[in-house]
Amino acid sequence: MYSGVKYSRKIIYVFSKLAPALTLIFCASAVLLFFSAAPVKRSQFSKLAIVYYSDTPISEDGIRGIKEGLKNHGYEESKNYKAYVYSAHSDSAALNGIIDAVVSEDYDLVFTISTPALQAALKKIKKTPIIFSSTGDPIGAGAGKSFAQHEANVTGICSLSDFSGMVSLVREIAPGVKKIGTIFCPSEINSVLYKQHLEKAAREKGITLEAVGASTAGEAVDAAESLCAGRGVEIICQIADNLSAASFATIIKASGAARIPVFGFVSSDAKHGAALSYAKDYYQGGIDSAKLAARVLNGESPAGIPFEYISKTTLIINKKAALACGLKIPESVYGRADSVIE
Amino acid sequence: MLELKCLHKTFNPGTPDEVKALSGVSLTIADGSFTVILGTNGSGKSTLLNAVAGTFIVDSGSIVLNGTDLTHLPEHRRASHIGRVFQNPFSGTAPNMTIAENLAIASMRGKKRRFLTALSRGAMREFYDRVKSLNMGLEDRLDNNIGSLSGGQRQALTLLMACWNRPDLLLLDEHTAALDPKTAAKVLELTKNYIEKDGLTAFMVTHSMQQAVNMGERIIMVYKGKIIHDFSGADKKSLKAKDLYELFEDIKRRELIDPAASEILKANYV
Amino acid sequence: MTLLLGTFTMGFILSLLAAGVLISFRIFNFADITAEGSLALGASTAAVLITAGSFGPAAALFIPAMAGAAAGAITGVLHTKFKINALLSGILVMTALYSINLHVMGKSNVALMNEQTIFTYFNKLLSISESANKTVLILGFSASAKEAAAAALAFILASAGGALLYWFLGTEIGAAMRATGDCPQMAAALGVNTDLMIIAGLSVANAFAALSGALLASYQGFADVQMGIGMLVWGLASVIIGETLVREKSIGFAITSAIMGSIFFRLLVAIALRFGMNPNDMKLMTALFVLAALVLPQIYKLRRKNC
Ligand SMILES: Nc1ncnc2c1ncn2[C@@H]1O[C@H](COP(=O)(O)OP(=O)(O)OP(=O)(O)O)[C@@H](O)[C@H]1O
Ligand SMILES: [Mg+2]
Repeated sequence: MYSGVKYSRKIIYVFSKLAPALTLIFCASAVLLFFSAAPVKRSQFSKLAIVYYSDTPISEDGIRGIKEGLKNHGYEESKNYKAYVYSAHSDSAALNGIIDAVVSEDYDLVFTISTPALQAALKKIKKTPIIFSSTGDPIGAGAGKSFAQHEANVTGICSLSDFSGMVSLVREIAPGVKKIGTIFCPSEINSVLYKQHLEKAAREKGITLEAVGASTAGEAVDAAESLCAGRGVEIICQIADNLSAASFATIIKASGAARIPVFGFVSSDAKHGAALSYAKDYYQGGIDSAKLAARVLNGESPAGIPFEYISKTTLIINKKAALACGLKIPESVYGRADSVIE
Repeated sequence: MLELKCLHKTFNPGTPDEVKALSGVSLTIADGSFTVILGTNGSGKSTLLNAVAGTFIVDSGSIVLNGTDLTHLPEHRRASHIGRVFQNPFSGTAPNMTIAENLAIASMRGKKRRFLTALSRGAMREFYDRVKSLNMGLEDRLDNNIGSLSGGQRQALTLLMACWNRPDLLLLDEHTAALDPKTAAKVLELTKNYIEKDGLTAFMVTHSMQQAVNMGERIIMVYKGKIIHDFSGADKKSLKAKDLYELFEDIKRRELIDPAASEILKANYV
Repeated sequence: MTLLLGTFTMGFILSLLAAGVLISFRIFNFADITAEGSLALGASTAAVLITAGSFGPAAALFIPAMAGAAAGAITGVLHTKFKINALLSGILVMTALYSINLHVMGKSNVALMNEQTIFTYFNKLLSISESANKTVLILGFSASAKEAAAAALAFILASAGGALLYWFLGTEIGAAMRATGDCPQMAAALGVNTDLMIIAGLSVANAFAALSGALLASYQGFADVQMGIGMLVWGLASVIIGETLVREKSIGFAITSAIMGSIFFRLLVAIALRFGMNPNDMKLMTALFVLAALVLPQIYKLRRKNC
């Protein structure tokens, strides 16, 4: 006759099998708990965290800018502050893990670079000041109601480029232009936003924007080819996003072949073959966010510091690249340039 | 009654690997009869069984079982009529599931599977009783994975599973070939019992002339995808293992001659 | 304590993903990368439903799960009906989902900062205010009440998910599904529609992945189209590490071990981060953890044999 296994024996069996796993989990938890509860030694060092989402030139520029900016305000790495740089490698789970680690580590201040990093931080970090940069739309990301009215522990630098400035520049250099172009990345929130802003700024001056989407470096090659061929694009005003930063050389190659000048929104663009760059760039964004950070570290509350745009727009002209595609830049523009690459 | 009409099956047609595995098999099997299939390696015995079971759809011909046309039904639909035991003990059971779970799946052959626990107490009781009837001591190991059993134990269970809900047709493909003689005898004994007890219609492929002589009421010999001999009734009864050996020798001789003859023909006419 | 609670919450949320991976990887023997797309799909759908506001918290979990199930079914159909290699089917659907997720959200990132998610509903249920930073004592450590509630909710949902899966795999249909992966020839011979089982199985697996994504988005406060990237590895790591911890293969243990593996893995990562591991080495460490989980049992076995 069949008889079922006794429940008590079954339970004992199950627990005996799970015991090693439970023990290990318990030990690991204890380690974590013990160390997260341990008091952090206070010193004259400020302890700063820099959290970014993906490994891209934009993030690296931002980090450089932050460190440079801190220096301007008297903060020397390993002299009076220590910065811990965390990359999530585009991995949500890792990002949350990093934020958890940051929360329990008693940092003096957290820098976030890129929108997801800011969002993850917003959700969990309620006391430690957060200074964001490389975020095109902090309101959309949930950091506050307006630039002045926002979460109490958050402030930062909105990385919106000067789109109408760029379009004015286009008008000034080439008054007859009807159509400009750009590549954008539909999966990057900033990229889509910038595209919309550029479109609006252009429309106000009677120029249409031809935007071609690309989501991967591979697609960027095709997008660049298609942008330069037969669409009547006279100037490419390349918006700044992770994808175009990674595949800028591709854009230059395609436009060079079609003799279409490229205007870039990142200052290094001019060096890399754009005719000019009119940039509120991420490096400057880093510098500006360091300025806000310095105010916070000196005791000011982030709640009282409104969000800011990147302070300075840098105009760099690459004479050779401009000549190569037959672009004549008026002397008045040369006069305004911050630097000229011969 | 099983009626096979002019079954054809060619594997990899139009390629250098083309094999005409069945070329016009027609056969009628009466209800409750036990047929043994013999043939050399690669003659098409397994292919014939697979065609009936629906592992593939035949190129042409028809398969009708008790008035139901199976020709174009997929394998899992035919399974409600057909029980199978394979040559390889690994093919007939799920190794990483327990004996009870395997039996549970078999007990639902031909029925609608539901969102109800597969191992209810009532079911377990039935599993226990039926496994006990195998006399292998497996009834106390219902919670063990089948992968931990020997090939013979697995084959016996597969047989039990195939016959769980009386199948209209039982297909046995050399199901004792991979077992040692003693276990093979045991499994064969079980096979006989099931077939006799439930009066099953059965098809058994074997390479053992002795088995063929001892068991069943009809012997069919397959060669190159065709039925070349069919013994039943008194013919079958009077058949001796020796006679069957001779028929096999005959085939072997033919196989030797065939290529040689074609060589000669080629030399003369091409 | 906050770090520990956060780690557990993430561990439980991702254990649903691990449960999904368990189905594809351990029942059907292939790592179904659709899970990465489904996770992001679950997050996107949940984000859209939550921001729309008129759906309850249950709908914001159920509908994403259904969306994930549909994605899994497509992978299953590609694989079984069109005979496309399983891995390739998964890659195709995952790639397609990337665009679909962009369409679902209308952009690449949706913030859920002050929206009503299942976590805020749960807080309301426990009368924990969203704005006040209430703390509770757990084992003598003070912790944010919200974090504790989140961990508790994640635990409840992971347990419920695990129990549901355990029940399902024990039903007549669930058993047939497992047999399909374990021995397709046997399953077919016993009347199991193996194609249908693979399609249904991948549906269930991806429903779990999507559920995990929906919870993740609610918990971290945003959905991003790139959220799924690298997630399959987390799931595989949880399953494999779990199996090493719990050396028992039956289905109940397998599910429990996947959940425990997920927790333990998150703990290891948290400890490593806490001890100042360079985050650039995180992926390397993940690979090493999984490798260790795969290799250690073998070394152990070898030593036992030699003795
Ligand atoms: N799926 C398949 N694809 C290609 N060829 C096949 C397939 N199945 C069988 N064949 C070929 O069909 C022929 C008949 O094979 P079958 O397995 O039916 O032989 P058999 O009589 O069962 O032989 P054995 O006694 O060795 O089991 C063989 O030449 C075999 O190579
Ligand atoms: Mg055979």
